[in-house]
Amino acid sequence: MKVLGKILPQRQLEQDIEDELAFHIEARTCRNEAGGMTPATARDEALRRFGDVEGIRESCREIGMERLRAQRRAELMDQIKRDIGYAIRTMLRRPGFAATAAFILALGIGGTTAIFSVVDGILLRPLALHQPERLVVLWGIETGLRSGSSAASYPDFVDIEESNTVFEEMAFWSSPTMAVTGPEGEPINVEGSRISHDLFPTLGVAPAIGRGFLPEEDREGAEPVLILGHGFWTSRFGRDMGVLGSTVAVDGVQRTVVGIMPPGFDMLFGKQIWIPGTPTHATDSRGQHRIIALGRLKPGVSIEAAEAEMRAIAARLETEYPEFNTNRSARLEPLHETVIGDVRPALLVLLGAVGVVLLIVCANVANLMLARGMTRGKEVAVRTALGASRPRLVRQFLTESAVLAVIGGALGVGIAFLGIDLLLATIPGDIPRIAEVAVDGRVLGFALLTTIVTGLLFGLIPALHGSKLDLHTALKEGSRTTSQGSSRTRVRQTLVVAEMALAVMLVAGAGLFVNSFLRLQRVDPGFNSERVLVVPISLPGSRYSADEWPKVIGFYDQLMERVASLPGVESVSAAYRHPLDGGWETSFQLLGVYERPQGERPEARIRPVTTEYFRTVGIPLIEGRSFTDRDDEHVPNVVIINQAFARAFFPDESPVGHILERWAWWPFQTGQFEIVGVVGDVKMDGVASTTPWAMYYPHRQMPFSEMQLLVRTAGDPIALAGAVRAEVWTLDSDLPLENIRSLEQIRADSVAPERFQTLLLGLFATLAIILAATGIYGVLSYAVAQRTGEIGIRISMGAETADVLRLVVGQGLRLTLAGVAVGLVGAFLSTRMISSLLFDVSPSDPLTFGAVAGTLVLVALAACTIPALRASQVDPVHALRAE
Amino acid sequence: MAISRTELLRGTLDMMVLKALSWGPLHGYAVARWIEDGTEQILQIEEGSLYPALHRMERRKWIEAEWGQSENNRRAKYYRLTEAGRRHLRAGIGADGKDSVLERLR
Repeated sequence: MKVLGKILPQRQLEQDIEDELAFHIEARTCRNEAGGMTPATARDEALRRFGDVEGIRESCREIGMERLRAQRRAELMDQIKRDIGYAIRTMLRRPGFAATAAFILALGIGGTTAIFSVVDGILLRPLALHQPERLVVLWGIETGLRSGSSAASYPDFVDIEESNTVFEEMAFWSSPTMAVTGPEGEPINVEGSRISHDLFPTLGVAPAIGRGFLPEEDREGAEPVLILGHGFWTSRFGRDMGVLGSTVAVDGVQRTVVGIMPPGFDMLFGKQIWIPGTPTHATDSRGQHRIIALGRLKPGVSIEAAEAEMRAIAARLETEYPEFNTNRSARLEPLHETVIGDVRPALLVLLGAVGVVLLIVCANVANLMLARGMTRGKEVAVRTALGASRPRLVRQFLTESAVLAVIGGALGVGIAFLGIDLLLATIPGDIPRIAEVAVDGRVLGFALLTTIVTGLLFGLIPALHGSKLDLHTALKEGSRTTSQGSSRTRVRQTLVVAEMALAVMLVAGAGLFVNSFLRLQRVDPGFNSERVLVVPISLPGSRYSADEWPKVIGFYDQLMERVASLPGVESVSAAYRHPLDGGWETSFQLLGVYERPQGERPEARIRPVTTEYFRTVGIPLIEGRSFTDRDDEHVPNVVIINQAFARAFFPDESPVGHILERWAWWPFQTGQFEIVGVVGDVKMDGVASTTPWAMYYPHRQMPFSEMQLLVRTAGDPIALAGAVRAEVWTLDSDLPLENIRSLEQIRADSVAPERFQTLLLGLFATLAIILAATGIYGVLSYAVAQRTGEIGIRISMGAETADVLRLVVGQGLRLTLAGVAVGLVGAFLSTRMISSLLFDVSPSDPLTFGAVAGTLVLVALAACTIPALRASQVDPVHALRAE
Repeated sequence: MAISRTELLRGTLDMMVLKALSWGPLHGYAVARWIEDGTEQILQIEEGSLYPALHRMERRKWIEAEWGQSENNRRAKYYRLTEAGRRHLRAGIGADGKDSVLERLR
């Protein structure tokens, strides 16, 4: 049929042209003969007047073929239009089915689209910079005792900038917190960046208003200037153009605003203001690693080749400057990776999970369509009898799926809009680039693609099955147990098993996350976080310079005294920094125990604390003594170490009494500190990480100006925030006070990303369970309806209710167990991909897997009971009469 | 001149065909005869080129075709003006009411 259908009209066309042209020539010949010519001359003359017969025939054929093609297209469009109309009418006849299917599809497509929009905004979309793929960050790495990435030192940067051959341009930034004070609002701490004047040109961005930094503004003694981020300009200055050229106080220095960056750029790096400043070799030694270097690769240079050269230069520096650069090397990272940090695996897990949900949705809707297809046998038979071919029927069925998918997709985009808003509102912490997440053309394109693929996935099986039907069996009235039916039942059962298996995999993954999160919650962080208020304070260097340390000590002494007298306060202390903030490290050596030259010395966290600190946050003293108010600048310096430190360097003896040596930062320090005690370990890098070595110093002997006030209260700590803030401002009204939280809140926030991820996965898993359960329910309901006659006979032959229940539930259980078995194997193979995201849980944790299998079997059994009960209530007389 | 000579000729030929058919259905040969008479053989074209013109207009649905019996009982393809063709013809005749086809030929 197909072959003839294509050739026939074409041959007809050629014949028609032949006839038409022949008719013309003959008519002309006749007329010529009538005019008196001989037959031969008459024909020659007719042909001559006609012209190029061959050419004309050819152009007529071309025009005709075009006409045929247009006709065929129009017919197809017409057919599709009719199919769509038919599909809509069919759906309207069973609105419940259509609504259910469309809703399930919308959930799947909407969820997938929402998660995709986040993945797209953060991971996939290139950074809004000039050729961002060529931008790389240069990290210094430690290759010795402990490995890890760190910032680079300025002298190293200069050496690399001068001797490299792979970068077109290089620039750098460093990221201190800066305090903005002034008449325009409350004093405020902002994330700022000290940058080289060429950073913006290297990135390929320029201020939207005003200008960038000039080379001379980098230098010491230059006019102090400032560039504002668009967000900060908006929040602090209400987008006042007048701020350009005026001065703003940053860390006590009046700086002239010269530019405002375009919107969105500040979000990229999480910075609000930029100031220029190149360190000098005098201010920044090779041992101070505080700049982050950026390079733009020359065209055609691969990151691997560039990294090899960086390592070679680092090796040379290592031999040239052994006192600073021993065990230091270099590593390059695409800027995109630096910007997004470590969110990639978590996002990919979420995308994978929502993809699994979408697959379950497809299986579920395919199953619904198959179930409906079984009741449409007669309709198909009639259409076949009326001459509809199999491809025609497949197309008809696929059209129905497509219409359903489009409705589901449209609803899904709506769900995606809501879902993204909800996601953005609840997503915790500082997810980089989150501001770039939006529903746009790319996301809508993805939704469309998902819809099409989904439509094909769930439509193809029912279409192939629905159209495959022989007239004989279908037209036999009431015959339900046809071979046709049983093959379709097999397909449906396979789909249910697949759904179940996918659900098991997803629930197993979610179960592992829940398990991991519970363990995370149970970890003893090494301190007592209940009822403690944390108030970050940073005394600006302009008013509290390092050589005015008595002023700094005096400020904190007065403040603690004032706060201690507030009602409801149990104890007060200050520390750099609160127990869940890792802080930073400095090098040391232990006299007689571990002596090394500079550059090879180990490093530990430096933590100045006031006398009451250990008592306030509940860190136990293990050995020796705690600090007292007498540990001040006038007596020999002391230090307290943590257990991890003690275990590493004093495995067999008491550390108390040993001398720790390090740089002296204040004139009264000798650089030697006697270890007077050992305190318990604190998970200062977060509860999931290992405990770093820590050195606690009395604040009076290590007077940092940036400290955090820790207040243990009798009641709700947050209730005291206002009173504490008032006390601070009584002493110094220009201090920014932000981010006042309870320690409990800080602890909860530290696992907020894990909690959020667990919650979202749990949601997907729940959805998967519900869908799988409805799948089982649907198949069993149909099976019961199909076997009503058989069940009727069994009951009339004396089968008990229990026998009937067993019959139906047994069938459901077989499907469930098959699905669970396949799913567990799948989970076993796939969960190892998430092992890096799990805390203290094996990716094939038997307890989790067992619980998941048990839960799904129970849910499936519950789904079986309704059809089973219906079966047990079959009235044998009624059932047999119907048969 | 923006319009090339062949385009002008083709447009002219189309117009003449439509004009011929405005009197009623005709087969190709009759259309050729009508043009021959109407233009007093001024138009020196190959008669055959009439057919691509007819077929093109058929594709554009200005005219439609049907097979029928000719005067001498032969199978012949008759063309008839459609509403679209009639509109096109009227537009071609121009606003001044003059028959631009024939005007142009004179």
